[in-house]
Amino acid sequence: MEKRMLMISVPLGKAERVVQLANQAGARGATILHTREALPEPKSFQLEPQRDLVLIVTRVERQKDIEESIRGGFEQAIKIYCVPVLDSVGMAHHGLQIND
Amino acid sequence: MNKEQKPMTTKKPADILLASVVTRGKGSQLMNLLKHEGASYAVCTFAEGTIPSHILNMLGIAKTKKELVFAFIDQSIEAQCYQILAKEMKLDHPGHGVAFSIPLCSHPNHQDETDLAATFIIVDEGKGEDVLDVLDELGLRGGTLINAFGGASMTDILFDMPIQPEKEVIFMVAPKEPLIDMLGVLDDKLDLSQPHQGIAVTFAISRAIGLYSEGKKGK
Repeated sequence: MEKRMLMISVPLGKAERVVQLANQAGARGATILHTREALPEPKSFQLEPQRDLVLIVTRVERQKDIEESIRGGFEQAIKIYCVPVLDSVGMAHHGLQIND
Repeated sequence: MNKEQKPMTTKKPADILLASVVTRGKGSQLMNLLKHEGASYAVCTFAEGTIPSHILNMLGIAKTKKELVFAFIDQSIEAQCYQILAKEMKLDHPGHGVAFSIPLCSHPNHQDETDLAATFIIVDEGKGEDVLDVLDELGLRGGTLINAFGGASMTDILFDMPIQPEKEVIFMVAPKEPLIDMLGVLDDKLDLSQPHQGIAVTFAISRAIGLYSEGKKGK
């Protein structure tokens, strides 16, 4: 069974909303990294806005619903990147098994 | 033409995730260089390197402070980004860090793979050392440790305060075969197939720099 990892970058503090929206669309968990973002053009003094990077591993069939749910829940454009997963373990309770 | 005079490149849609582990303090510089080269997006987080050294272990400083940069780039600028990583970050020399490309779903040939793979192992805080011990037994060394937060049970509320469980993410690059075998061993030793014990996922890699094995230059 094909799986994907979604990487969603949102302003600091918005990760909880992303997880709620993803769970409504069928996601079963998420991991949040606190990151900082590079500004489009570096200034003489460095200001780097903090961002939450939300990682969600899901089945490919649910990917579109999750992306639409997240995008629909925010007014501003949300950056979502999708990484194909080679193999996984620990998702049996998500209805996924190794080498599905 | 120097860096100040070079015009900002027009951003192209990303189809490669360029993940770089560099010395703490160099993450912002690398993000700026990659953005200047045309990366569509870049973020950076603190991490810890775990390359084992008997001397450092005895001194209790086995972990080294690192930064992990995720840059989303177009494949047309991949070669230039690797030149920056070699020239500015010295990743072509041992001990300066590692970087690798993971093709995104939007990559036209994301099935093109090397014999290397990357893994993300996400476990509860405190279990990261157990994972590193299991990997060490399998001969897999040199992972990067990142502190993270779980999102599965974020709705738990205690005294009006949301509870956000702390997690540890172990990030590692290794040959594909032992890494796939490692998933089964981790499942046996850490019961990952039970709910809320953690997950491990692997990704194909299309290019890498800075991988060294026992002091010898790798791929």
